[in-house]
Amino acid sequence: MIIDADGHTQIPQEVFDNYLDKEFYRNRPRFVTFDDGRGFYLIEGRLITKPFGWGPGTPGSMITIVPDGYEDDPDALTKAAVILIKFRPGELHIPTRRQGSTLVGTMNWTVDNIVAYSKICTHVGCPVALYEQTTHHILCPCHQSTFEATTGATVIFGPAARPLPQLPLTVDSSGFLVSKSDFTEPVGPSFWERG
Amino acid sequence: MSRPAVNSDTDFEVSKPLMGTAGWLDDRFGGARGVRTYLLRKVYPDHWSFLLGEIALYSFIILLLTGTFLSFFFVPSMTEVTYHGSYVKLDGIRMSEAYQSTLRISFDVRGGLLIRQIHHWAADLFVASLMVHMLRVFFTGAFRKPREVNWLIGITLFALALIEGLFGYSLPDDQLSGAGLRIFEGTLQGIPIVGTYLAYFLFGGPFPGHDIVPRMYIIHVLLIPGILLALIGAHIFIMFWQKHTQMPAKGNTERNVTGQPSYPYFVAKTSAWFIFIFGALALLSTFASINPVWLYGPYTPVAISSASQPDFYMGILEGALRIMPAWEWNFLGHTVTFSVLIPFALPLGIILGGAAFWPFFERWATGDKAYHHINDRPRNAPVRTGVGIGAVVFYGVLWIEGANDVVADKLQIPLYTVTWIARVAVIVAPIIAYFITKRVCLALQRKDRNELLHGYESGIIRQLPNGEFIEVHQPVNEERLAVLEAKKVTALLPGPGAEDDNGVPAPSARGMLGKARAVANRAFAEAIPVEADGHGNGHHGNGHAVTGEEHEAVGTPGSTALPPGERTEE
Repeated sequence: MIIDADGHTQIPQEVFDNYLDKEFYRNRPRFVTFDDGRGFYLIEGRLITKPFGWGPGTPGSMITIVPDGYEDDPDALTKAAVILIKFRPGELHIPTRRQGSTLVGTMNWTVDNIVAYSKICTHVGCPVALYEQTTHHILCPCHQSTFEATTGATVIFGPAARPLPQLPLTVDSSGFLVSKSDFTEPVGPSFWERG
Repeated sequence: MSRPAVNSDTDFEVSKPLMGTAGWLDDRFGGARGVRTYLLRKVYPDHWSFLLGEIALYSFIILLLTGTFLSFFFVPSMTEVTYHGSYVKLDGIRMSEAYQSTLRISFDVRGGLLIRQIHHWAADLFVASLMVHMLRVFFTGAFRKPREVNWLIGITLFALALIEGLFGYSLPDDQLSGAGLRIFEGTLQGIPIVGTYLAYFLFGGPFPGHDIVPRMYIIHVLLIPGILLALIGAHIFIMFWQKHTQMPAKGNTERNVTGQPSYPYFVAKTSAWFIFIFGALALLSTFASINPVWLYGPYTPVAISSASQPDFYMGILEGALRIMPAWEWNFLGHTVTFSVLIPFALPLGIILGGAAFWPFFERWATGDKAYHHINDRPRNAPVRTGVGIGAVVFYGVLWIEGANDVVADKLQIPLYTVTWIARVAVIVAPIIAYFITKRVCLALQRKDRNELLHGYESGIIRQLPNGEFIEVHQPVNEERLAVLEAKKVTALLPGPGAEDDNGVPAPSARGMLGKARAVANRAFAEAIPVEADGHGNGHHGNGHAVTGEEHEAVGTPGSTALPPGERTEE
């Protein structure tokens, strides 16, 4: 949500595009849409999710990203909810992980110490909504499965058996943070056919 | 307490208008004799613990009444709407019609919130009273022959009540219950082979879809209540037919039922009891908020709050999920997730399956095939009581673990420590509880024996001529004597590997199963014998002299228990 000084909750895009001074123009708030259809607000280089909170510009923060246009679609959110975490330099230790021939986690998928994981717990599907900045632990409030965020969301406690799937991130030609592809493994709870 | 002596039909009078109506009906349908014998003259034993089942029955009736009211206003639909109702804090929020109509019931329908709260409190009371009622039946051995079938019906009722409750509180489609549904769906998915199909079938596709609320609704308001009603009917009919058990007391035998007749005493008492329960629930619902869904908001799969707990009766499943380590197998392209499967099946499997299995196990282990109408005092069945307490402790550990985050927060213990304590306790604590309980039971038996043999401690201190002080023991009165003498000692079957003079193992102790049976029998037969001593209790075998499979539990001489229906009502 963008709030300007005079209390409007939303400023039409053309106000920023046409009326800003030249020196601020480069950092004007914009709504950006990624090629997979998801969109974010970009304010001073930060990606802002709509409507779930502030961007991942500050190291240590965790935000939830949902696909633009699907904020009220529970079916989509059940699969597509993502958490973005920005680390301080040197904190990330995601090794390259393979499951069979599928690449499921790698440092190449992170951009500027930002990493994206599925928000749907691999235990029984609750949202992993708690993040402890100092320990980098992601905790599921339902059954306390705890994931180590700096090493590819590996399980360090609790009943979840698998790390949270990682969303491959990259930067597109315009400098925007985009996902390189879909998740490379099923998100959410285990099931018989999962393999 | 003075009990009105009502011993024959002539002793009680029915008011004239009632007689007139009854006569009119009898002229046309007959059956007055049956009504008189089985309904009006049925004898109700007078013991407080017999009211527990009635609490369950009456909260069920209250559930039917309040549930009908709620169904007038609830819209079981997941169609998305934007809220513009009288609860301004949620104005403009998108939500399902189910949630919207729940808000409407809570804020706009006259008396709606009160009825909603009575419905929810009554549901909790229903399950709680079922639990206590079942514990009473278990610990007093009231499930024994001939009442095994009613015991099984009771367990089915309890299991159905759990599903009914889960579906009921999930209907409003709020944030908290939605998370519960997601857990339910994730658990269903974990079932090998059929899991995904089951989940897709129930939810009509991927979670959450648009089908689950209407489907849960029809299951909640029609299917399960219908089955519950039928089973409750069967439960009560069988109870009528077999007549009540009764507590050991003076005048109570295996051949009679003592108590007060249905009309007018029991009818008056039980009507008051119903009104009292309804009143208590209404008061509770007036002053204690339950499930304030407007604070949780509508369901979204991306949000959750900490300290999310289901209703209390689901706590054991929640705790079982939380306690599990991450166990998962991957083989031949398939995934079996034990960290979901075990919590789903094991705890309730142990509790409910164990309860269902127990009467048959006890019969097998004790070789006791007799009818039982006089209940056991829990201390006189140490193994059963010990196992029961062990089960309660097992349940309790999982139940508390279901709120481990709250426990960690309130007691300032690290979260993982709470879980580790529970992981150890869930296995160790029930075993410890079993042995402690068994010892306590045997100690109480010793106390009973002392009381029987030497009388009770009167509190009178007397100084003997030589200066010694003694406490005067006085013999127990007849009422107490009847209670103390009600103890039955389990017959001892041939021991493990026992052989007769020719070296042939006893038939009942042969093989693995036979040895297991002999071992179990030894545990059951452990009791404090009361020796014949001139107090008129010489009929108590001490167990060691009696062997043989067909031996019936020792009872009052000449009073072999009668089959149901043949007991006299006094």
